[in-house]
Amino acid sequence: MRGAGSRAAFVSVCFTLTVATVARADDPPAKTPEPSLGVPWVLTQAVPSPEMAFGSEGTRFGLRWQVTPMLYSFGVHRRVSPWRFVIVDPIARQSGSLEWHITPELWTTGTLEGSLRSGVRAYFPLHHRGEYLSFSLGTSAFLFRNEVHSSYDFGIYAFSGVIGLETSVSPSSDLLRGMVTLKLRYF
Amino acid sequence: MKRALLAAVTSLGLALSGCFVNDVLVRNTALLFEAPMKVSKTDHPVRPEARLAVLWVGHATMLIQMDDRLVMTDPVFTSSVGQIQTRIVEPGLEVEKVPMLDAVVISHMHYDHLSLGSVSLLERKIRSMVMPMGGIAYLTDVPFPVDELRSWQSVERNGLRITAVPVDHVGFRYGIDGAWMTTSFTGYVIEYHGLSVYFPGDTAYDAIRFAAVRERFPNLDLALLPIAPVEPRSFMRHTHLDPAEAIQAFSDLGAKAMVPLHFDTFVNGGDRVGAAPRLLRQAAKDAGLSDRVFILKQGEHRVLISK
Repeated sequence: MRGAGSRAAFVSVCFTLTVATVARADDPPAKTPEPSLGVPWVLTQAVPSPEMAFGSEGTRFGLRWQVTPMLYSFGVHRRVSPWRFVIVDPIARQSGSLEWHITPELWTTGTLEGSLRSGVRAYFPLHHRGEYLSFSLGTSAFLFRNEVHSSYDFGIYAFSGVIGLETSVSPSSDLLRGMVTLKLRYF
Repeated sequence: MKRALLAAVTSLGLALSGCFVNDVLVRNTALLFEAPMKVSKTDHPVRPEARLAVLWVGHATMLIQMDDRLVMTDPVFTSSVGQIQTRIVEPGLEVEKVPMLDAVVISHMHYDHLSLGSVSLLERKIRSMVMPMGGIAYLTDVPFPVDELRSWQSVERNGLRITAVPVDHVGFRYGIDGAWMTTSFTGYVIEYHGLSVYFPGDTAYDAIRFAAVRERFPNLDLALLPIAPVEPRSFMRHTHLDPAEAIQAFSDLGAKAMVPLHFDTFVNGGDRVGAAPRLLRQAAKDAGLSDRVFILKQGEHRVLISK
């Protein structure tokens, strides 16, 4: 039953993205930014987002980073490609988008422990087309201590998405049941 | 502990004292918490007797009337730009009073020139927009047509002819995107019914570029020239005209009249409110051009050529 639901969701997302892409084809295309993987960009990606998790073993402090392999923006101008890979200009994300992210995390519990998270997150603009204020809803799966759990998140962002506050809950995880992340993100 | 904290704060204060950061922070912190200064505003931004008129909304936002056509430059009506630079003077025109705009021109991607909040406010009043090449990437989706222009490329809509002209500035919005947003800044010459207006957005002084504009547009009726931020000059001179350079640019362009903009509207560099127009008055006087330089207040409406 759960498999059928997932398949239906996957098909509907593909259909939506295909229809949206075809609809954009009516207008002459404009130049899409061609960002370069320079040292400044790499350095900005190295900045971690601090977070705290709450669970059966108490509170733990962590850091997370995010890689965005792919993002579809439904906020950018119709003449610009809605697809972004790895480097995402803030307006493409905050003006309305759906992203696939991979998020490695480090946790301190006396010793350092790692977890790996991947999922999808949708961003919606609230004010100034998302540059001043936007919010996100997402779901992900994460691997921690050889167990995989699902998680649901909500976030709110300002300053073109550079600063945000994200909360997530993982009903099936005792150790990382609730989380709060101060999201620091630049491209 | 308290003593260590006090020492750290004192050291930081001493380290910063006299430097630009301290200067800007101390002088402008108060402005961040003050309500914008009120200005008198017209309810009738279109003047039937005018062939060429301008209404300064503030900063780089100018409503230009050329006979029956209306153009707005870099519209900003919001209380801040980039959530950081706060407005110190109200917009010189209420959004509700903005008439239908035949064209809006965007000079570059900085928050004080491309204000997405302001585009949302004006969306239903804009018939078309012109941007520098590559700029549309940061516009988001809008219902009106948008043209992107390279230097010297023109577009004509409803008799209005807008030509992109080269300026010396930068095209980034967020910082590191300067590496690939290399074409998204421009100036414009707007022509209609034999009238022509020059608007560079922001630019450093570049005699060659101004001469090139004059060569192609030898009869400019009006140059709208930015005159700030002035300080710190060693930094700003690479991207912004100061008042003396603006007067030199006005002379280089050979325009008949000049109206300054880009000053005393938002917290702007290290400038004190009133310093830039004062320097401009002096520079215009020194150059013998005082009678052709019109310094407006926000909300002031000036007819430059009557019917």
